[in-house]
Amino acid sequence: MKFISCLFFLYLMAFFNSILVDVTSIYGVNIDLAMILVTVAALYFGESLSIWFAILLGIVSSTQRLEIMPWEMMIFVGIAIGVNQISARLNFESIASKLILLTAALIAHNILLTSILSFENLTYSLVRYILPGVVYSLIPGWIFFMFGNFFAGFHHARS
Amino acid sequence: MAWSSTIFFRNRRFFNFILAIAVIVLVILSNDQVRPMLGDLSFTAFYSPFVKLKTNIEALRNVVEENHQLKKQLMELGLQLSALQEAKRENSRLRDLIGFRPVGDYQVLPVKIISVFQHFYPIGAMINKGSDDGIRVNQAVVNRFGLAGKIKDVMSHSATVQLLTDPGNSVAVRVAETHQMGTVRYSPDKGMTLFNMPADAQIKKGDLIVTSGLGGVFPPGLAVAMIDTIFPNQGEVLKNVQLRPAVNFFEIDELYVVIGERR
Repeated sequence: MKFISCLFFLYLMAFFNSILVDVTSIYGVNIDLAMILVTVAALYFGESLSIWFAILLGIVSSTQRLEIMPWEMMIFVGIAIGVNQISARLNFESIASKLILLTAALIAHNILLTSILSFENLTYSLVRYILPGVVYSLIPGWIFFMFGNFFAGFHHARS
Repeated sequence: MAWSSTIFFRNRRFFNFILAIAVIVLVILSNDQVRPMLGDLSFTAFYSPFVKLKTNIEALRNVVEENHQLKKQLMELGLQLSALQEAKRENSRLRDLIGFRPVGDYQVLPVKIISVFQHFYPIGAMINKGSDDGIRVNQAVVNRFGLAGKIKDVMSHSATVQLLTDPGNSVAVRVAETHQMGTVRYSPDKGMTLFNMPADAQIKKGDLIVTSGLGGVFPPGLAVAMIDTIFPNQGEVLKNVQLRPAVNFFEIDELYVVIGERR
């Protein structure tokens, strides 16, 4: 089931990049779907699977820009391990705590990517694009966590 | 044999991590071979179904209305063409008289945008043609309004475009009227800016900025932007000039790759 979910997430990323990214963009503020998916995988799929999912997602999300492929892979793997370790050690269960983790992951990803793409004036980018983007991304993130908790509870009840 | 599998399963997490790092290092070290191959695989496996879907949706949308508009445009352009052909013949005769080599007659390949790479705003795009169609790295990419960017990476059936909005992209330009040279770059806070323009340069709002061809990447004479604001220089050597891009990067649909000069 987890493998199928990972495959679905990879197709979702390609669908988002091909069709939805223009539709969902509001004055340059975008949803960082890749980071949401990495966080969800790290929280619900376990460490091993989330690492490999992060690598594959790095490839799929940077198909439009091959030069950032290894950077994206590194960032995604690093964040997947970090999120997984934090949630395992602190036993994060509530959606609010998961959203806080997602916020940190989104900020880290955007700042690193902005630096890698050599954007000038990081402070401006942070205020104008990154922070609104983080707030915007928390909405789909919240929906993903709702589904995640629902399916996790469902599996728990079945077993 | 049993002991090795025991060691592997005991340290599974560690081996998994090492293997993941090894894959990333491999991608970093062999950037010219592995990245385009992975990009091709990703495109074929994940993007191609949505590209077909997107193309079909766009093809169906407003077909009738577009047909009417195109018929009307065809009529108008037919009339314009005959006048322009006469002007071209006359221009050619005059060029022959003064021995001037014409610029701007380029061979272009129409391409469709598969997806747009946004980091805050569009800075890159993926197109549906690749090395099999004659696309090479650093070829100029234009639309009907002017220069949009250049080819960054090429795969067999697709390629990526680095748009002018990418902060890593800079273009050698000149003012069309005065031939004053400069460099154009885009930043998120200032927008498109003209650099290296001397403080005493004779430029005004509305002047057209075109590629100079000096960078060796873009052919000369392609429209890049119009001068929007000239900030008063306070004892500085260079002018600070804000530009209005010729291409609306938020609404690019069709692009053309300049694959060579027409002989």
